Amino acid sequence: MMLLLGYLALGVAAGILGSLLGLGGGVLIVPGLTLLFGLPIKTAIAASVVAVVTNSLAGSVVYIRKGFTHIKLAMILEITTTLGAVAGGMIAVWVSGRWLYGLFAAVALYIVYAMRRPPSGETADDPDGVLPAAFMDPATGCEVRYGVHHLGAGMAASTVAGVLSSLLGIGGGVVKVPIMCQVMGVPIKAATATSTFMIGITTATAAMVYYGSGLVVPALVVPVALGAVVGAQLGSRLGAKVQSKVLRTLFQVFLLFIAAQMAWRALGL
Amino acid sequence: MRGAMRFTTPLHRVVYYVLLVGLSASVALILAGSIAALASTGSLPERTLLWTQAFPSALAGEAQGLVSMGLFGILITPLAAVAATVLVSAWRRDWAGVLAGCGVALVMVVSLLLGGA
Repeated sequence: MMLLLGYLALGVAAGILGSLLGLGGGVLIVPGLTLLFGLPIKTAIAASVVAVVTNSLAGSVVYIRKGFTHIKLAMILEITTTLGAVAGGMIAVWVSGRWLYGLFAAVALYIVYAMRRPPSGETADDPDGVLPAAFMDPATGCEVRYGVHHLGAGMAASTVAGVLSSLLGIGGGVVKVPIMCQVMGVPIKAATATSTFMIGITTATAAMVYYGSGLVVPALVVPVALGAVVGAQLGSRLGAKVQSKVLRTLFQVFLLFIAAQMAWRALGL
Repeated sequence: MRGAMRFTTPLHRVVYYVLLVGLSASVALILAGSIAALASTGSLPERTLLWTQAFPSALAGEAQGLVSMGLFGILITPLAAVAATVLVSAWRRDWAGVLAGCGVALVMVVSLLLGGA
């Protein structure tokens, strides 16, 4: 019973972090299950992908109801992200793991640097661009109108995000959110919501493969996934109320943590 | 709480309900199966059934079948959302939306086949 409660707590924590920052939550679940509970990595990843899909669904239900999610943009970016992920899986065979960790640390540090200032359009109406959209920001009580800028560049960057997420075994959110914010001028709340929705679609495909191969263990997955549902509800409600500036700072701190972790591995420590 | 509803487009409304129904039904099945398993054996099932076996097992009210169908339901819900996007886009004659949705579906099927292989 203590194990069940432990798995449940891990799921709740991953759900809050995942939906608050537009990440999958796998970046917390896999190390949690392997390091804290001593489970084999494949079992942990299988549990993680199911929990990530659950987390994405629960977060998306809240975000879509609030109108934050840009569904059409998600579909467009999903194509290039997934193609990138397939390419990344092929490239991974040829590249040394230490180089990959170093590359990710460098990318994460650059994103932290680039996110110091909010992009134009985050705090004021900026309906120029393609795929115009709008949502009501509960934190300010104002309607935020925006258009998507540099769609081609964003799609290209999403391909790179797909490659990186596949190469490095992380959820794409850590790369997709900054791309949407910095390259495409999407407000961070819409970017995290859209990323949350996209992660569910991408990960469901991988989760199906794990399910079919019998690696999904209900005794482990059920408490983690149900915890993720509760956590995602809490995280997405919190995310709607938190000021964009706070959300950006949280995201930067999280990226710094990831960068340090990756640099550690790159140096073979 | 209907006052909190802020659907900006019909696409948002449809995808919201697809996700909500998929998630709710799946969680209900998982909870029912988990309670049944805990009540009968004191622990949760150690393995899932393939959906072809899980469906009749769930209909018979067996814990393992209910949990397996719930987990399978979670995994197919995002695919249902993609299908809903294609249908709503086609209904609204938004051919770019149809193309994007079909593109995602195609990429998912190919990835699934590659992964399965």
